[in-house]
Amino acid sequence: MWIRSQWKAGLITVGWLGVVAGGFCFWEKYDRTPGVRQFEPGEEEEASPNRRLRIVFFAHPHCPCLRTTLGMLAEVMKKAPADVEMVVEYVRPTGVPEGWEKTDSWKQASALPGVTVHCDAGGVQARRLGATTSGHLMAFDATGKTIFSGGISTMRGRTGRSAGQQALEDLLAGRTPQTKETPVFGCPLFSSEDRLRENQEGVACPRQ
Amino acid sequence: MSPTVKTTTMAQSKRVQELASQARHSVACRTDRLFVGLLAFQWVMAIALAVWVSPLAWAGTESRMHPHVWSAIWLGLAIISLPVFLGVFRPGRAFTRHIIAIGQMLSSTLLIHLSGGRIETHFHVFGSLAFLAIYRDWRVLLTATVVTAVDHVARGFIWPESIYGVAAGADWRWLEHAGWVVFIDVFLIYSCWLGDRDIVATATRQALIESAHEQVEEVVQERTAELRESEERFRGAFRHAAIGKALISPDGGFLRVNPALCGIVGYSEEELLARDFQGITHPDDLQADLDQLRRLAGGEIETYQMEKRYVHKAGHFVSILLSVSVVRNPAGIPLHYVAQVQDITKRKQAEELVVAASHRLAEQQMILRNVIDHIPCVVMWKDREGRFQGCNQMIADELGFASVDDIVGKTNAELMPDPEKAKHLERAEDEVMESGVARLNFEESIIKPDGTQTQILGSQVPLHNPQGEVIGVLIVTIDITERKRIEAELRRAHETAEAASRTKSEFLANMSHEIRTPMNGIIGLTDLVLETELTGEQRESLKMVGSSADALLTIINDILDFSKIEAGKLDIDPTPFPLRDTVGDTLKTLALKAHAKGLELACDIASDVPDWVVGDSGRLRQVLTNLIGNAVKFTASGEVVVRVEHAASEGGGERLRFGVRDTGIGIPKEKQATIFDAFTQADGSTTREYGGTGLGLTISSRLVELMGGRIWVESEPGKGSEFCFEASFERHESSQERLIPRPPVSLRGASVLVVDDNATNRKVLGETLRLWEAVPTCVDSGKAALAELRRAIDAGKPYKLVLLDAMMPEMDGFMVAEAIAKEPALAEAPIMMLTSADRQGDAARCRSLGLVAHLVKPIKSTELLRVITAALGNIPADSDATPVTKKTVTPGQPVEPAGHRVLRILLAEDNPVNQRVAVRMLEKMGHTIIVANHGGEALAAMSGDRFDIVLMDVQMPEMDGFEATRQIRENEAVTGRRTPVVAMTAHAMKGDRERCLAAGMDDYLSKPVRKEELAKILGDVAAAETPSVEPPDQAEASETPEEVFDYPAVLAQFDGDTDLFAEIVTLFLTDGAGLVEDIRKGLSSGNAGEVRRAAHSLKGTTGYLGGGSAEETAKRLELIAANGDLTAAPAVFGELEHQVRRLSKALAVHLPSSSIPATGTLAGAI
Repeated sequence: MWIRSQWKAGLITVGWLGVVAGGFCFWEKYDRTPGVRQFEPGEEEEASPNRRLRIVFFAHPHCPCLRTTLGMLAEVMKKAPADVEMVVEYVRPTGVPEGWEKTDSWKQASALPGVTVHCDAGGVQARRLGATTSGHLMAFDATGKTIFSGGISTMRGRTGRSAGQQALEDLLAGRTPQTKETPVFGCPLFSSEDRLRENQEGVACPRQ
Repeated sequence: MSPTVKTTTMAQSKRVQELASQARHSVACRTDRLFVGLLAFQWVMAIALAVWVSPLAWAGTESRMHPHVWSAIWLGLAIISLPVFLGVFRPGRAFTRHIIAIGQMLSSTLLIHLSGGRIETHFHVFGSLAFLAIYRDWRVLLTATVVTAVDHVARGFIWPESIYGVAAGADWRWLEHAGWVVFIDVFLIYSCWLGDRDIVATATRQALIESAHEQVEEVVQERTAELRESEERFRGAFRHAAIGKALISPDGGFLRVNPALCGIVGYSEEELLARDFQGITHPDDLQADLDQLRRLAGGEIETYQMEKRYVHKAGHFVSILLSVSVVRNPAGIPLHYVAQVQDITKRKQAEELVVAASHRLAEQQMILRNVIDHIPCVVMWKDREGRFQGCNQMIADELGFASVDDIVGKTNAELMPDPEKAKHLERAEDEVMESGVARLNFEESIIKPDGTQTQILGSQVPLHNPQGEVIGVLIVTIDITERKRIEAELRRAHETAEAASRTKSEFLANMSHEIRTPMNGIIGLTDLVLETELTGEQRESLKMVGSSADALLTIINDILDFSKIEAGKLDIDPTPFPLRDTVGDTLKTLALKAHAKGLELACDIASDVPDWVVGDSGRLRQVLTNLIGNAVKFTASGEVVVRVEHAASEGGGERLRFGVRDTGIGIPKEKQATIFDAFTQADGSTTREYGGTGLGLTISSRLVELMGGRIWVESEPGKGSEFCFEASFERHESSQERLIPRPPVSLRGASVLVVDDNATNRKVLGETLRLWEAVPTCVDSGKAALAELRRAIDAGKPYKLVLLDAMMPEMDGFMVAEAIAKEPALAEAPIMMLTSADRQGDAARCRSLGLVAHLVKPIKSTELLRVITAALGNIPADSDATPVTKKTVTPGQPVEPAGHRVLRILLAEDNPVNQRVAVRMLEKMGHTIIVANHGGEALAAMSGDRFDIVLMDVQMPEMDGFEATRQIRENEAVTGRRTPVVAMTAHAMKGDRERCLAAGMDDYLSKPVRKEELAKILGDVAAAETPSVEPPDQAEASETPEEVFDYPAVLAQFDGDTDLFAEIVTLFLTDGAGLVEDIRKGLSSGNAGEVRRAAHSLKGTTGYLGGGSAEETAKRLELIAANGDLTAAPAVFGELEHQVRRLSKALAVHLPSSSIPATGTLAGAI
């Protein structure tokens, strides 16, 4: 009987739509929340005169967002000149067996042209460079100076034009990127245990 | 458009809308259910997709369920929750399907979102629209499109790259997507419109189908109703048909029958349906029926009809007319037969009757033809013109023709030689035909063609056609020439025979006269001589002469009666008479004979037998006398009982049964049938032993037949006989009131002891006493009587009266009386002695024993009552009353002159002996007699003298009695004085009395003349004539007692018992006044019954006392009263009073002064 009331029906409809909209908003909020940044710009790579640009991309082997980011990276890398070194560092935390990092995304990244894939066992490089979130891309010039640090996706798992992507393309094109830092959307590279062990062992571990 | 059509169209349109709405609703419901499943499936797929794409979210080595999976679960659930709920619980509603459309499109949004905007997921949008098009509601598509548009707009703003599935978004992408959506919407909406149109079309068709179906249904219902009505009519016609109907299966079984058929064959419907027609068909008719049925089944014939017979349930045959047709299926196979059965039994019977009648008619015609041809008569018939139309052979023979055909068409004139006679006969025939009245038995004299003259007896009868018109005449003649001659001879012979008969009758009369004349002399002179002084031997001899003469007279009377019977001249003279008195008197006349033989003679008359009846008392007395006399004659010891009772009567009269039972020798069985034949006795030796002519029973039998009855005998040799006869009498008016003597009040309830060894007497006396309301106790011996008397005394209820039989074995009545006298306690009851034998000295013994009365059996009830009344009423309880005394009359004692007064009598008698007898008798009576030798002398004597009475012999020379009487009456017509004439004749043949009375005579005496009869007639005459001779008082004053009554004769009736005479006289003087007073009261109140009763009692009493005139007058008064008309009664009553007074006066002279009652009685009136 109550359903016969259009008012009630309208209220129910609105309520239902509100719940759905709330759900999408909650979801959107999650997707738009970037990972914790622990990048220290003072940390630099060693100088490499043969390479004009060196790009290091940190990835969590099991991060589902990585598939989107690699896709965008693949598009960008199609235009990369030869003097650009592109390294993808798959972080293999301590305590996991070897090969844990060999996932589909590893294969996907390995298939990228001009891209070198490394395993960052124990996350040494990541820790060293201050990368804590999967999808963190760092660009170093020939001097080893960090010229860009951040993510290239707009949010978790989303493709599309982003400031990081634009900055990368500018770097590859020899331009100075308009922005040097962008938020990174992905899974944390280290667990809470890793951080605890890092603290115990004195290993610098990026803050999250 | 007519209103009906418009209404129909509107209704159809409405129905189309209804059906379309129903179809849409059905599609919506079905699609709702489809989307419920689809949404659930999509939800699961979204979760699976989320799990596949991003199952886990990692942090180093740590992982957890990816938030996208949770989003797919919960957000997906939120998206499908409301649509699924509505799809499940509110299917078919527009709201539901719009919510489902929103949910479906939100599911697309969820999938796009989960897939990160992959382009493949956009196909889900198109698929969803396509699925939503299943609703066939373009508005749902709009809702879905709106949701999609909103989503795309929002997503374009928020995720411009991901919304379209490409990394690089472009401005035209929304247009492309919008174009695709519009494109698909246009087609889907068009398809929805087409789908809805199909729904409407389908609904329209459905409505049309329904409408057509309804129309068809209506038509079907109409047709069904018509069919049902038609079937009902058929059923009704079948069931209520006046003729039998049946549906019969091909094998002959009854499928359906109607009541008429059931009625024809007698079976119920159930019984008939369990049978086949072969079972109820007459075996002789079955094969023919089966043959016809086979032809019908084979199609050789369409129907057949036949007459046959059924076997009725009751077993008899019923003729029927059967009509059969067949009903076939389309293939021509017989389904069943239709039979119509008409009961033609009556018609067949009628036909059989007609056939039989035709046969009979033919036979009758043949017989008639034979009769006509062979009848010894001339038979001919003619038409209206007098022409012969037919005749028999006889007339052809007489007229000299060979054949009757030669006569047909001819007329009398052409055939008869005498033209005048022919014309005469034709005129007569014409007259018959004109009038239509037959001319029967005419005689004609005609001349035959051969010239001979013949006498014919003929009849001419008109012939009629069925319309009643006279079409001719039938003539039948017979030649009576010979008959005429014989008739003439017969007539002469008859005259001769009649002359002979007259001669015979005259001879019989003469014989009677001639025999009676000397018998008159013998008997009369014997009586006269016996009254003179004679020696004992002379008296004995003369008594034998007298008894022989009596016997001879009896024989002569029997022979004469028999002659009368043979001549058919014996007849009955019915008059009112007192039956009880008649029977009682008859018994009394025979009592002496019975008692002389020591026989009990009893009379038992049933209480319902009337006192008065109308009949011939003389003939009844004659029969009874004969039967009782025979009984006494043939009984040596025991009893003779006469019983009278009612017999079964069919008519209105009184039919009485008389029985005379004896304990005599009996009659063998083989003789019982012949004893009523003339001259027959049971044994030839009986005639010799007992005497008699053997005519008595024959005469009695004929007399009983004349009285309308019959006579028979029941007998067993050695044990006795009972002769019974029934006779019919007419009821007398007075018999309506039974004349049972009125019992005295003192007798009512009184205990009476009856002592008699004879059971019959005890029974009769007991019943008589009960009738008088007394309480009788009957005992059969003296000892028993004494015991009973003692018992009654002890019980404190002594007997009021004792009736004691004198003759009893062991202890006779006198011994009982003596025993009672010895016991004072027993002697209080008055004792009346009843004797069967009037033995000398009984009265004296009674007197000495102090008995109140002495009666001789048989005792009439009136007599008994009178005596009992006297005993109870006049005799005190201590009973010092004078007992009955008796004096024996000395034989030969001179008789005192008879008559009331001296009469002058003219005796016309030619026979000297008769003259002498009559003169002597009359002289002894003290009368004066003048004798005339014939009628002429009598007339001469009467011309010069005056006589009180004329005794006229009928048969005299010169002038007979008839002529003389006629002339006397003629002379008296001049003088005005009438002299009684009494015929005195030896003629005893039938009609003599009537002839005498018709000739003017007043009474009739048959010779031989009995002194008593003569005296009675003279007494009557004297009584009648006295008032006219002189004034009564003066006459009374001058009268002597002897002139009033014959004392010696009366005393002789009492056997010389002066005491008894004195007692009866006392009773008369006591009660007579009461009776006279009763008559007076009856006359004043008009109570004829009272007058008759009192007159009757007075008649009896005066009769006992010799008061002839008073008795006669009382009798006249009784008859007048019996007729019910009291008009003439006062005059007669005056005369009766006078007569009674005279009688009382005369009787008182002969009473002792002590016995004369006080005033208030007749004696007081003297």
